[in-house]
Amino acid sequence: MALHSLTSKMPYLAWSDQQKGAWRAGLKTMSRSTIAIFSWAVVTGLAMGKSPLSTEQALAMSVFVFAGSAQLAALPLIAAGFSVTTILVTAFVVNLRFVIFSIGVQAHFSHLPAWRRAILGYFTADFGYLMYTSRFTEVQKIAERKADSYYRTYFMYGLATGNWTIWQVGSILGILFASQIPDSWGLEFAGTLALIAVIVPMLDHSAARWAAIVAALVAVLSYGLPLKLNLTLAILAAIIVGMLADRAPKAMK
Amino acid sequence: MRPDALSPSEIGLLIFGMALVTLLTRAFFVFLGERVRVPEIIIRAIRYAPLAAIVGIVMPELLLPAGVSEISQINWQSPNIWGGVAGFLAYFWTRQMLPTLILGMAVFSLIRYWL
Repeated sequence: MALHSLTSKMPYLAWSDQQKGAWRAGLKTMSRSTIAIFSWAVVTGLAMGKSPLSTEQALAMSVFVFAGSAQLAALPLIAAGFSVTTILVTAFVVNLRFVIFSIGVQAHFSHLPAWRRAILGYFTADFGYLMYTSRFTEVQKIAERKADSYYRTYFMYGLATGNWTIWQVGSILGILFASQIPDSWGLEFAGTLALIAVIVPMLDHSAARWAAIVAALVAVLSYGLPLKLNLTLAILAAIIVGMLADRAPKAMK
Repeated sequence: MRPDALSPSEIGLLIFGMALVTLLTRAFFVFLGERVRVPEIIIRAIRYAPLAAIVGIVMPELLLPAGVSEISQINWQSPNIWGGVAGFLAYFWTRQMLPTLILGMAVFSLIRYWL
């Protein structure tokens, strides 16, 4: 009896069969991007393992910070002895794209209590948001969410679980084996190739292709900017393309 | 150790702070509250944001060699460019991850070691 009252409160065990199915579907969807996430995670782990951080510090950073681009931006600043405040401001600017993604998290999961939305937001990295929004573009009405027992929410939990787990395994392996591995063996490039396989299927209509072309141009031309601002600019450019596509639906179909 | 290096307690503070920054940025608009509805037009406007983020990570990686920050320094013999083209073509034909990786890495390695 005591055991039952405990398990009935635990995540997953307390869920309905439909919700468990949704979570597993999300996990499965994320697992298709394992190679892309894993290779970037190992590359990030290697960089942390070779940095002035101790192994324990690097592991703690990986597990708690869970934001690869911000971690990579922080490492040279730590090595150069910049202040904690400077590095935190840098991390914030490098993470600006997530501020835009958080609008989507708010819209799709507004039925959740604020603290759950915040925790879900914390675990929603690039891949989780990308996979979710490419599967579910439109925001459901509250009644529709109730009617399918919050399928999408549990699907998102599955995506986040997969994303976090694959990332941490790769990142921790990279940290632990950094001293044995002289360079990244082209692993970084394998990660880039795997991302090509993620991007191409998304280019199935003209507006998406325009958004991708414009984002590519902006990201490359503004690559010299500090703090990964080229990524933020690329996203802003893609937002403009999205708005133009809605204004001129015929030309962009 | 450098005289101006961060102390272990400062590193601890930094890791805690960076975790908070992750929460703050990824949940930024989440703190708007339950009752705030995001207008449909904004959801539509940001629909290509994640695609743009991934494209923005990949393209400089393919076109610009490490340590280079300007497009004028582009090197047309770079293994990244041709490995990327090979990977793109492999994916375009087969629609599968494995041939994309194998062909892309093969071309990348060939140019890297033999040219």
